[in-house]
Amino acid sequence: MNFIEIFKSSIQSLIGNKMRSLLTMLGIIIGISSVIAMSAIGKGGEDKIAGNLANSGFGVYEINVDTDADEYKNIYSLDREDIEEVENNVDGIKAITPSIRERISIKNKMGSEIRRMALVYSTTPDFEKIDRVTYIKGRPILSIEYEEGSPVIVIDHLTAKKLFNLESPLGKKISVEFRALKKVREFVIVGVFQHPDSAMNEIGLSTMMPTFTRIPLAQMERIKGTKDYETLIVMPEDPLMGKDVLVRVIQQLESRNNSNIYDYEERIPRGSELKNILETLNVFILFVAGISLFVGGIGVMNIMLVSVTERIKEIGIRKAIGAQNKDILFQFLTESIILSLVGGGLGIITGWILSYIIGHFINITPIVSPTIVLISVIISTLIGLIFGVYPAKQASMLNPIDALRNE
Amino acid sequence: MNDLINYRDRETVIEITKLDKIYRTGDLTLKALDDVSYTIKNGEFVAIMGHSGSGKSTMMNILGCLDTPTSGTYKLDGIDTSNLNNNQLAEVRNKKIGFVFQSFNLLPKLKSWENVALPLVYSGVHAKIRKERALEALKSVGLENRANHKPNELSGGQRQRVAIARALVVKPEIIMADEPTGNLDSASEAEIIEIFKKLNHEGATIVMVTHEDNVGANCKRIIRFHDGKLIKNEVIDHEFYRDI
Repeated sequence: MNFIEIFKSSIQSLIGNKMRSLLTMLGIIIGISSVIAMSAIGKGGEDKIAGNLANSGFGVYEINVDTDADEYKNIYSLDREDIEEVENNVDGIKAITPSIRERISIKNKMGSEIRRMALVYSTTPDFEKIDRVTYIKGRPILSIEYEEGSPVIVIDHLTAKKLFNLESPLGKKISVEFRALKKVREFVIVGVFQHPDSAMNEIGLSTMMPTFTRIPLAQMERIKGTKDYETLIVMPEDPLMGKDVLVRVIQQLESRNNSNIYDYEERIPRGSELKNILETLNVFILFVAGISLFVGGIGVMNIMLVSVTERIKEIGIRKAIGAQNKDILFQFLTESIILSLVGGGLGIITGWILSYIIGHFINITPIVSPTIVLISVIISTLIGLIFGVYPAKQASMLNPIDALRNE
Repeated sequence: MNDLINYRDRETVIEITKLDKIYRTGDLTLKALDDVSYTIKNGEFVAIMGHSGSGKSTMMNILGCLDTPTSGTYKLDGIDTSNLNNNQLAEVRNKKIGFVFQSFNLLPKLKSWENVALPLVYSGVHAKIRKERALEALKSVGLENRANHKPNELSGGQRQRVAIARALVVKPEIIMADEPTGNLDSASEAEIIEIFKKLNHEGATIVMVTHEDNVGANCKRIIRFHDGKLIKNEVIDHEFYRDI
């Protein structure tokens, strides 16, 4: 008896018992669909939260110098060499950069005079990696401009619109007053970036929008007249390992400067804990789904045993007219594998639909990963195989005389 | 038609020699068959008769290769069945023996022709040829127009005819019928007996277990069992056995 014959006869027998086949599959369907739905919602939710966190600075740490400490000012607090030293000795850092922020007021040089209060950040290639913005006009600051500390500036698009209305701001000069330093400099606008909070503004959540601008760090140092920093921004490669990396960075700084005036904090307090909680929750959900799959498997075994008992006579007839033990074994095994595979397939479809329905209500786009689908198919085949072996073995070992006598 | 061949010249299909079957349950031993020897030749129609407990069912199970003797030999078509394992016995049942049971033993979910074709599935015959041969076998029992009916759409007599077709489809060396008319009314009984007689007349070798004398009377020879022993070998068709 070849495989196709066995397959056909199994299908025939399963279709002959539609209701029972469906009820048997129910366990598998529920198990697989919950795995699919839960993991899709979980992954979607995780991505959404991770996305929100990343935009708001998740996985980014600030190192600050305790400016109230006695030792401060007596020693070099933080400088370029410190940063190089850290970069060379501590692994797992994606980006590290000094951060200087100043309050300024800016004024356009042509047309009707408009003055605005603004924040200016010193920027470096690493800073651009950490605080990502999308340039919608012009270009980011070039590496030569970083090196030379050229008087170039990039501004957010809302500010550009207020200063220049419909005119292109690119190449225009603006005058910048550093209010704390009482210095005025001229800058050329080379790029305009999407205001990071503009999405909130569009949906009317924020009417008071701060003005953001960026100039090269070297230029900022020149204006401030110092190469010492009070704040470093560090982004570890693995956000979940952030604390370990930061501890090593602090150790490095302390031993180099023989001082303990450094401290670090997460930009988003307890962001990594949140992510940990999410992952634990996912593992827990998969664990629960695993149990329901196991119960589904037991259900398959149960029904297959019932089916063997019910069909003792059939087995006797088949054996009497020449079926060998292996023919019977494969027939029952195939039936249980088909049951759980079809159950798995229906489970995948149900889970998929379910995840979109749930996602619709809790406003999460579910992500059904192919890996989970593949794993589900494999698991349901295995369930059919493992939980089908015992009943199939029982069926194949039946003595034909006893089996025929059974009514 | 082959009635003209002398009985002496016919080939031996079944050869039973000093056969014992002993059942042991705890301290109890039951000799179901006790030193039984006989032969059945090609073209015979033999009834095995006896009261219940006489050993005729045990005899039938051994003849049908569903069971093996405790001692002694049973040769079917020259094959000594006592040395065969379960799979080899299954193959012998599949290719050499056609079974007809008292309770028909058809699979209720399969159509007539699928039931008839079932033994061919296990002997690896191609699907197309299976259907042809099944329809052919159904025709020989006069049921070609019931090929697509399921067993519960047929009368008892028709069901038994389907079962006979299933026994015929493998072109067996021997047809074993175990009380084939036990579940039938007298009209159907006569119908089935006629089919067996016709098949035998066409050359089939048939062994039939029965406890009804009027059924046994249709055979060519009756072997009677009592308490596990073969007690009487009774010739009915004297013309068939004229040369012994």
